[in-house]
Amino acid sequence: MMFYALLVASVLVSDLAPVDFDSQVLPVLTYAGCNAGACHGAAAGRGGFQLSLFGSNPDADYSAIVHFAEGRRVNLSEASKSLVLTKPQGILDHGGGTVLGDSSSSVAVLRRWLEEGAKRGKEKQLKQLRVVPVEAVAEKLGESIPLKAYAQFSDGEEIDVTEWTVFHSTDPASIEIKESPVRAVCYRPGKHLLTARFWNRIVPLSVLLPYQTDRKLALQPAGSSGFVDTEIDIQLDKLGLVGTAVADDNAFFRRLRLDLTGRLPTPEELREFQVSSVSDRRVKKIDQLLESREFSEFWSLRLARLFRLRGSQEEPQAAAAYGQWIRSSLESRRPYDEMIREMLTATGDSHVVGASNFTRTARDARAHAELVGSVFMGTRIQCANCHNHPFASWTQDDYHGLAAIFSRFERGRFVQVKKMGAVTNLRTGEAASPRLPGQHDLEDADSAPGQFANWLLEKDNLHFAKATVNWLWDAMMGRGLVAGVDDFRETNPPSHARLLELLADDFVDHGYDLRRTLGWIAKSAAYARSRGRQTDAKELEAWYGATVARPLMPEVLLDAIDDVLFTSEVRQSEKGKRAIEMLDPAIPFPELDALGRCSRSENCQSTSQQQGLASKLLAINGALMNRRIADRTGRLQRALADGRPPEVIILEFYERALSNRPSDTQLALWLGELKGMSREAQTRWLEDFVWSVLSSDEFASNR
Amino acid sequence: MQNRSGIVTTTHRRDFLRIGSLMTLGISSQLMSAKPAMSRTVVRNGKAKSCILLWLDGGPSHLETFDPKRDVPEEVRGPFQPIATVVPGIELSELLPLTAGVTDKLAIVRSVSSPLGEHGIANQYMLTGYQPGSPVVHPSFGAVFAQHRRSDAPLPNYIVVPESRPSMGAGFLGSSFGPFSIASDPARPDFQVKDLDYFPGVDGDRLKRRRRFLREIEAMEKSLSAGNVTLDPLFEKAFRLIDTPEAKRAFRLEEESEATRSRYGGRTFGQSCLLARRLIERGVGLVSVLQTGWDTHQNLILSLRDGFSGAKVGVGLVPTFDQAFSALIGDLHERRMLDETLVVAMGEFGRTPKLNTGGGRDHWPRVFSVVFAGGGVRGGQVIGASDRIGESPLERPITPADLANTIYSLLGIDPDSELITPDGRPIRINQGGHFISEMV
Repeated sequence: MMFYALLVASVLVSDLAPVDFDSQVLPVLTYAGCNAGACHGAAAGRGGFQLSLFGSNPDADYSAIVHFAEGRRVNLSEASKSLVLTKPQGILDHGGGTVLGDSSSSVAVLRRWLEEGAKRGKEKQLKQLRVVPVEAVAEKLGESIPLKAYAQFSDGEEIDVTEWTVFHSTDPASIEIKESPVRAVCYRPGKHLLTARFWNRIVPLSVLLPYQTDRKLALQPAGSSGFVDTEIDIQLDKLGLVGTAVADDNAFFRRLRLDLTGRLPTPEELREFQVSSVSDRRVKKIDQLLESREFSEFWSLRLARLFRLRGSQEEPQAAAAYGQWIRSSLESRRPYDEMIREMLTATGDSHVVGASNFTRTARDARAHAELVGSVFMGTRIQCANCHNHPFASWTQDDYHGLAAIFSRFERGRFVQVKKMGAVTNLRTGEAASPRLPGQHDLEDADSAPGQFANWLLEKDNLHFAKATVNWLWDAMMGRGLVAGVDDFRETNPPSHARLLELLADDFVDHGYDLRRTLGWIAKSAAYARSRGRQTDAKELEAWYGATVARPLMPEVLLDAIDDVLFTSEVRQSEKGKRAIEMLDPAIPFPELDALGRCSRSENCQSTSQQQGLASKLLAINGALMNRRIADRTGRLQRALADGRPPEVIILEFYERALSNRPSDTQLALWLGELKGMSREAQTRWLEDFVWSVLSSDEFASNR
Repeated sequence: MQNRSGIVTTTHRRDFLRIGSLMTLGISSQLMSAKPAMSRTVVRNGKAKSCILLWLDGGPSHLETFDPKRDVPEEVRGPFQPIATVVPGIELSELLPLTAGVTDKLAIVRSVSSPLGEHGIANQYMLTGYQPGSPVVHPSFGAVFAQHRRSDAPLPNYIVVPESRPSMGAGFLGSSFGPFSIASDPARPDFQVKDLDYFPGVDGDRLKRRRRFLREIEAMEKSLSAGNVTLDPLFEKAFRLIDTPEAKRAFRLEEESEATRSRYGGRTFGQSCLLARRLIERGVGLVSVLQTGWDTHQNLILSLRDGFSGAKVGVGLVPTFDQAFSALIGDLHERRMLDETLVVAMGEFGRTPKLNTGGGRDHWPRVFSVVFAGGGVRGGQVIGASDRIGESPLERPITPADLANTIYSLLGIDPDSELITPDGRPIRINQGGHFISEMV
């Protein structure tokens, strides 16, 4: 092992060439953690010593080390007395403790660099960081997988940098990194992600250990979405998992109806679906629902949540116009890219021009850039405000450049583009020039938003298409192919990279049609699967081998409660509108708030609706459920007043709420309890029964 | 479910959405775990049995509270002067005359330093001890305490008065360990916690039946027998609380004497502190009391001292805090509860050393103060110091992770022990923090 370390060290500290600052010293600082966000890499530095995050700015770092602090950090006459050595070695008091061992090769590199005069050397860039293996497959528990890293610099040479690469496992209980030689040891089955960081670059790698190696992939249920299931099944096969069978008609129809239209199926619809003799009735039903008015109604709410539509009490007309614009765009099947282009560039009276309200959603240019990054590019670009994004390729210039694109908007009622307006690039302290992220600066500031839209929506730019199809996948499947719909980055790779690409390509090639992509997903066997068994549900759900339960949105839940408890005539006269039609969360609706309505101040996904005990107290003692159950005009009290037998009532509520029938034993149990009860007692019994059905997890989730 | 370490974890249905993503693809931002070298001082078996966390939301100015400066230019000192306290050598702002009388019970940390100067992420760091950014959502102190100190008592073990903040949540521990927010104002004459009492026409027997039915229905769908189904623990908790009148009495502030009520001050924060004391007295583990409005970018005189009501006596943030805080410390002491009750007062950061043009101060995380009392903490001392103008730590810089480590240790929770995420990933309760040994 010793020999190995020396061998690698000799590559970096070769006798031939002087130590290079960019390609050798900075990697040592990264390796030792000196320039991490928690240490000197923090935006404000640490202990008066500031480095760029992970050595992303060599010029600044060279100055910080060699020139600042009156040059005390380097001692050219006596290298070993330099602060850059004595502090990390713990010889002098160091807030970060001892991070470099005296005889480590890191110290050797630093010392030689100092002895050679602490020169900057030739500027170098890291062109590529290659790790081997990128995708490893382990065969048994406890297996060791050797890891290597190679760096290619701008001057062409590729060298082994394993010694100065930090390999990291976020889950050491599943997979652990061991030193000398560097290797990963796998303790649990599954696909585990590791990262390798060298200098200013971080790349992911994965190790897969199948759950069952001996079991052959069982015959997957036939689906009609060829490529979707091919990709899903390949992964399941690799992992040694066998997906569940397709769900029965009732479960499938409830799932589909809720996902596509935000409504429960009625008993009549359920029966009609079951008795239909059409051979591909599921496919037909999917197509029919996608074309329905109810689809546009519900997906308007989904889009409003995505775009973070939020009006104000003073100006409800603005949000109303915005909502109408979304709804009519969906109804008229406008291509999604056209919608987005209009949102990015629209000006005018926001009470009339619905799309112009997108600009008003952001309070300023930076927020605008962050919103665009999150919603249209699936990325949290705000990390690049103060420093280059540590886990993605966005730089500070990209961030401030994107903000500069939107800096001329006036965000009042009349959205317009001003002649002036700028944002400061925090890196340079000067006005940022408008810049296409990851690309180049824009000459003409006036047309910048339009140019950005052109770039974003260009066919070859897959940021937008991938973010969009991933959002659709997340809505239908309970979790995005990239987990976290606004968290695309190199180190958070998709679970099924090829599938994401295929879906994105298809979306681009066929007119950015949301319905088409939703159709692919809904028609897949993966979408139709039933639940996992208690024993393997978690693994299966992680790989779409079993359906994933997801809580109903508060709006959908409230409508569902009303649909079960009231006939539509009563609802129409009482409230007029369904909760899912309330696109603007600023419209007061205390019952929706009590159920956890998303305020849209952030991404509605990340504000998970953790409500805790209060929500249960509300369910038990609150008016929301109790008042509706006791309502004389409601379905239960009417049925009782009409003298319907308890058995019929029980069956009806099962069917309306759960799209299901009780088992024979359960029905017998219920009826047994009711036997011999007075009518009055039966009424109370049935009220309690209905309460329990509507308070169950089964009712309040889609799976 | 029972996992390897014997800690029982529960998986709430909402968590399933996250589990998948964490299971195999998550990445932590704490990638750069520099090799630990410092030795760790760990105090186990702290004597505090419960905790009251006073959360000063928005970031209180250290210079106008616990770290006033003398002999500095006026734009640094601000409009107020330091005053002496009962402990020779320790001075507080003149806005804290009552607190000056209980300073012998306080350990004032004046060198807390954090890199985060934005509200949301800064208060996550302060309330969890972890910097945000990893895909794991870390639990707050209260949730860890609730999970650690399991209680069968009907009152929730972690209560927030009067309202919660997202960073006070349970993170990966799941919402059954999250705070119960009373969501109403204890200072109002008609104060009561919502939905604690039966809906008209529904009684205890019917609730029992509803609970039984609920199990039957969940069981049917999972193809299990009702005996094998566990209800959402939050549902169980809610049913029990509703059914225990004695527990609900904790919320009846009217049982306190007029003298006690006015001692804490009639405003929301005062009555909230009084409620916190009542809850702790009845066995609640951790109560967070929120005082909002500390984000004082404008006019310190109005916001911190006078208040905006036009009252003759100052009713601003600091006098309100001063009265309630000193009353709480005094009351706990007189009731012999202080030794076993850790009280911590903190916000997400301090304020800029120099006044801005609006006569206010902006966000300043580089140095600020946090105050500890009770729970075995040695009072009458200042720990660490900021520099002459309150800009940077002068000595003994203390990180939010150190604070978390210290709070856990004082509460008898081993900060090095691990919690298990729903997908089985072990996470240390505290990462990189050190116990502030001067505390005991």
